[in-house]
Amino acid sequence: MAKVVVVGAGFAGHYASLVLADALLGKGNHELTVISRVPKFTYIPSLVWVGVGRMKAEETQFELKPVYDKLGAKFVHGVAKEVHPDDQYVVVELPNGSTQQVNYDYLLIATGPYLNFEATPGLGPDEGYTQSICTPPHATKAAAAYLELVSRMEKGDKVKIVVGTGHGTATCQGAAFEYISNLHNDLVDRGLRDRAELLWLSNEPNLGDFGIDGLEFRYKNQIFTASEVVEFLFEKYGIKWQVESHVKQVDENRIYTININGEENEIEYDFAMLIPQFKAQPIKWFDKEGNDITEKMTNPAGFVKVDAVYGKPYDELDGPDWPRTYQNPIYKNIFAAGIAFAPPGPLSRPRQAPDGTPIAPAPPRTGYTSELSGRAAALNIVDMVEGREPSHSASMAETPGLCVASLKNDLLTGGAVTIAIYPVARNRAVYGEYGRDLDNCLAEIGLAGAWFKWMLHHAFLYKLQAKPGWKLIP
Amino acid sequence: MADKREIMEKMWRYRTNIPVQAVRFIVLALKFAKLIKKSSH
Ligand SMILES: Cc1cc2nc3c(=O)[nH]c(=O)nc-3n(C[C@H](O)[C@H](O)[C@H](O)COP(=O)(O)OP(=O)(O)OC[C@H]3O[C@@H](n4cnc5c(N)ncnc54)[C@H](O)[C@@H]3O)c2cc1C
Repeated sequence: MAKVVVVGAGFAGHYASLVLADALLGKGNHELTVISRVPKFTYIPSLVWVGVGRMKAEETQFELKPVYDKLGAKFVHGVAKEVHPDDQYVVVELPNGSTQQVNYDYLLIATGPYLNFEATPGLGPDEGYTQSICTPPHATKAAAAYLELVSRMEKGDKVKIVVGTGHGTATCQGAAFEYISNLHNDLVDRGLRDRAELLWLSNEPNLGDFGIDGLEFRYKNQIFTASEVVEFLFEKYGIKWQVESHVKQVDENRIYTININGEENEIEYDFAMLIPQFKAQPIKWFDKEGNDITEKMTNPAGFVKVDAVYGKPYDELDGPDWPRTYQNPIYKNIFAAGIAFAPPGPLSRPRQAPDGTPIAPAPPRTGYTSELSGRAAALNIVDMVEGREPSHSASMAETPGLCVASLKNDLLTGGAVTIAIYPVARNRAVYGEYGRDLDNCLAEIGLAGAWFKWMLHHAFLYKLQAKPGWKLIP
Repeated sequence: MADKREIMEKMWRYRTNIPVQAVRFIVLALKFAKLIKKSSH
């Protein structure tokens, strides 16, 4: 009998839990326990629509406990605070403030990002002046602030909207790109677009970098770049841009930036949605003597080390250095997936301003990548439970990135940029010059993408509730 | 470069053309299916 514990129930953790439940429960008295800080699953991609007031947060969520009850798994609503890998238990803080010890034989950490608003003074909807769409409450608050802005515009006010990244090392540019595009189209529909100036503010080296070092694709014997596609779109939408920028500070009226050349700028704004830097969730690791071994188990940002090759300079980093099994090298019964695993390095080239301020996107781990790493980790745990070596892999240098970036959610007049990248992390050992298979990469603007995006919303919410036939949905 | 611009303008013109987008939907779905197959190890 094996006790498997999953910490975090987002894309990586919840999907891994479904895979584990399917493979283990009902066979050999195995136990699966899922620990989650929030009692609901959120389909985060649709928070973009929540943030423009076109969807309610509840439409992106479902309760986790009934799903785990149905599968025969245990659910603990609480925050994992400590892991004791020698004694094999997790300390969980429950909503009433008490703590619970959850024992495991195998552990999967899938806690996603900690939204580090504190890294940028004045950033964020709780302690600062800017909006965020990263959580359901944030997106709901962003929608309320945006709709207030709309009513000002309806009275004739001219406004400035700034969307992008709020820190030099932020990631998740794709979500911000979707948000600014949805805002543009919403304002067009309301007949208010001429009253707003829209600015894309980002740490990317150029438009379309998205933290994945951009994207090239072959079409009609020509090589296009995501940069060209995004520039084309922003021209059509009348969106201005300032890239290569770190946000130093925000106050009620201004955003203070420094760019890669050291030039400082002050941007006045009426509404801003800026993605914060992502750190790992603050979980502490202790050995059997009670020594804090967090530094040994994680990288400096707190992400859990797995089977990657760490420490190589950017120019030497290549496909084979990316993790495959998501197994921790010290404690073989511990795995980490989704945003929680420590990548071997960035995808976009690290750069800094003359004063040393880093200005380069951190590597994103998107929903699909999170699911794939969660599934690989889950299947590797099953391998070990059944006495085999981990045999499943989902390296970002061997798997595709499939992303549909919404421009507007409407089945007749909507649009999206449908993006495919293969593989996500450049793998020059296999794919030579570009490190990617350009015939399997694409970025295309059109209504077809809006249909995909709508379908994905419904298909994911169906699949992740383990409804009949869920296993057939990829 | 001019050529690329032309191609993107064409994509833009047809972005909400339902018959064209229906075909693109199928083409893109097949592409995604092929890539999803590559990720099942
Ligand atoms: C607005 C937005 C739009 C996006 N759109 C897309 C998109 O279109 N396509 C795409 O592929 N990706 C998209 N992404 C990225 C995608 O959401 C992430 O890649 C994905 O959520 C990462 O999955 P994860 O499981 O690693 O983390 P999460 O989904 O963040 O899940 C982590 C879970 O762990 C829980 N948790 C955290 N700490 C603890 C703890 N200590 N104890 C217990 N539980 C804990 C959290 O509450 C959360 O439920 C988007 C992101 C944002 C913000």
